[in-house]
Amino acid sequence: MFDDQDLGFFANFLGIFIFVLVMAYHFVMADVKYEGN
Amino acid sequence: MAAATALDSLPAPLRSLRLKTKQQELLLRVSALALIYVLAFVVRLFSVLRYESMIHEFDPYFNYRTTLFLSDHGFSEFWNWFDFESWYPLGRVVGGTLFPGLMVTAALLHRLLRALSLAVHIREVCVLTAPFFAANTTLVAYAFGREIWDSGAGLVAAALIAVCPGYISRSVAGSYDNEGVAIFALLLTFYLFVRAVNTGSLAWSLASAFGYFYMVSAWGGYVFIINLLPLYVLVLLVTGRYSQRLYVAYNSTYVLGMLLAMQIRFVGFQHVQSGEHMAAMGVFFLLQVFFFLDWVKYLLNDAKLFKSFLRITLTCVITVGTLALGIGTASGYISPWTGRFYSLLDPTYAKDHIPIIASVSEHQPTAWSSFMFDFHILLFLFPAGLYFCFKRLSDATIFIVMYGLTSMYFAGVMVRLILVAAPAVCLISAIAASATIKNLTTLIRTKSKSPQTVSGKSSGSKAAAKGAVDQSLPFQQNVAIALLLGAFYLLSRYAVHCTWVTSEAYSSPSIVLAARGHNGGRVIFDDYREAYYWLRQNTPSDAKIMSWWDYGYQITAMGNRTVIVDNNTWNNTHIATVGRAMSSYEDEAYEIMQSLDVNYVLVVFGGVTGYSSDDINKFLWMVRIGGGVFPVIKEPDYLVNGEYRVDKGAAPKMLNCLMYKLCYYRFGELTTEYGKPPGYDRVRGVEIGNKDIKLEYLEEAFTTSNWIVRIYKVKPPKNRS
Repeated sequence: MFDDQDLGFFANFLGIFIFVLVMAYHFVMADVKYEGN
Repeated sequence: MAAATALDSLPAPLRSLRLKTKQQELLLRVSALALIYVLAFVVRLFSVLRYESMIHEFDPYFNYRTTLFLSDHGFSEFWNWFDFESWYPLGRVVGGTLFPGLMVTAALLHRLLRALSLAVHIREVCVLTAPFFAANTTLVAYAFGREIWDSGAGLVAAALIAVCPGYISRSVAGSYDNEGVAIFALLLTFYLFVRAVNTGSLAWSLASAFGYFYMVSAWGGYVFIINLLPLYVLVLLVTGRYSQRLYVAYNSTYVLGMLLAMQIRFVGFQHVQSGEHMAAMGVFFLLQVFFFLDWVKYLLNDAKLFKSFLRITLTCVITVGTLALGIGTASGYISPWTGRFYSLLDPTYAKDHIPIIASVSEHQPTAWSSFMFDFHILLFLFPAGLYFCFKRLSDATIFIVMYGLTSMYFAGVMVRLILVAAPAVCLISAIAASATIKNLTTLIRTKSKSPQTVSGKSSGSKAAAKGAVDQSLPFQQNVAIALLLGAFYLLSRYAVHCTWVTSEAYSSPSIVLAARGHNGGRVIFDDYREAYYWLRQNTPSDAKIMSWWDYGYQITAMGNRTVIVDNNTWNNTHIATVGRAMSSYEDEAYEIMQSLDVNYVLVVFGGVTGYSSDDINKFLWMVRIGGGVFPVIKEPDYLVNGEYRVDKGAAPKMLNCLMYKLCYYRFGELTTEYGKPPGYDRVRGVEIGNKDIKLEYLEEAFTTSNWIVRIYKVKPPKNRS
């Protein structure tokens, strides 16, 4: 059964992973080949 | 590019999977947004997993009860509902005294789910409405961030607001209150308005007006919008940023928004009659004058002539405006500012003039620790974001700066308004975070291209020289990587902190209490529901229950019984009468209770369990509110040398007033803690002063298993002999 402790772990993991994606997004955006730059 | 080289060495079918930069960007953006949406929803579900799917706190019970009514009887009945079960004997015109946005939204969602053959109970819809709208808010925050800065800032803003404790505190599952949908509506209105100002498009302006209408229908906090927008327009006018775009955006939003808002009965004609809404109207007329002057300037084409025309026009406008305001206020057509509005401008106002506002804990000024608790790293990212905004000043950044600064002021005045500041703080902090990460990643990526860059610039231009100097900085790439890792560490700490705060502090339903037992296990106190169900099953259906107003909504919603006062607090005299009864001697209180046809009295008592939000701790507010209307009740009578006591040294009036007797009846026989004498109050930490309590006009009807709720029956009058 999925309890509140599992949810805490899942939320922490997801939160950190989202910030990894955000970093990766900025990294991609900083590429000189990107059309938007 | 190591990754690119690795991909080049792959077989041809796999190499075709390699994405172009634009595709990578899209993939990362969409997946991050989708995950943020999921996170915003699931992080608010702690209370559902820990307790059960239930409505929290006080006001949400009224919202739930009205939603049930709306769902069962339809909108017309709901709109014209006169509720006999509250504010006995006055009753309440429910349709005309509430913001229906939340109930209508939940009822529509419920109907939609039923239409999709999903057989869910309306309670589940109500419980999950706030998390659902919080998830939607992240999307609006993304769009807003993109509008004022760039898509990177939008993404960071969405991630920050998804877990921001300042917002979560009011939007966890079960927190079925107006703010749950209102923050979404607030941010949507602001986003649409800024977009309208940026584009000058009529369509965006009208969308903004509809956003405003939704906000008005959902929460009284719309007053913030109707004052911030004109203030923003005024600042743009003063700083010489007047444009046709602004003219179209403000006029369309204001006129249509005002007309739509008038359809909400609770708001009615306030937009043209209340002092709180006059700023918006004043700026509306001012914009017309600006437009007119612009047109005359174009026609005259003579600076001197225009100057004198400007002088005459301005004098006339100021005179007419002041006269209109003066006559309107003096004749009573324009109502003065309300006490709530004053208490926002002057934090000490409520304490001196409106005890009923000051008595609510969420209306207290905010402590510094609350800011740290609710904003964490955003507290220092916020000023950094302001710096970035000022560095790249535009119509949109001016708006977010004004929103941020005004809402931060209000958040300092009243603890519950941290909620309004949360989106602005997230957006401004996101600008700081995103701009910093962008600078660092740019440094990392341009470094690898340095040989080509330097060799490509053969001419000695200034930019090239600067580039060459910059790139000669030692360890530049390493420092940038280290700083990037530091930024990532801070952001991940923020995510962990938010989850912890949500889990530990903001997921308690407060209708069911939890504590840690001696063995470390969780102990659940379900006394409130025990008492309300007892009322529902053991009292006549027309019984009238007297309690302090905090419990009124819960009694009507769960106990289905009539109450004297409830959380609506619209009639101060009626509440003061209850306060007077609670602070009087039993025989005096009996007369008051007879005049109000009271059958049962309900009190909340924490002396056994150590539950500190009980009626004894709230009692001084009852005295103050009662004394505000009935001068016979005097606060010093209940204090000893200015000190509030319940032990042997307590004031005689305190030891014999109704509230004391009802809370401590038979408590003197009970041993609450090992090694302490009988009658030891675990909240106050003292042995009570009056252990021999006799009741003459009331009798104990029910006390819950942990003594948290005690119900007394009012005896009928004695036979006349």
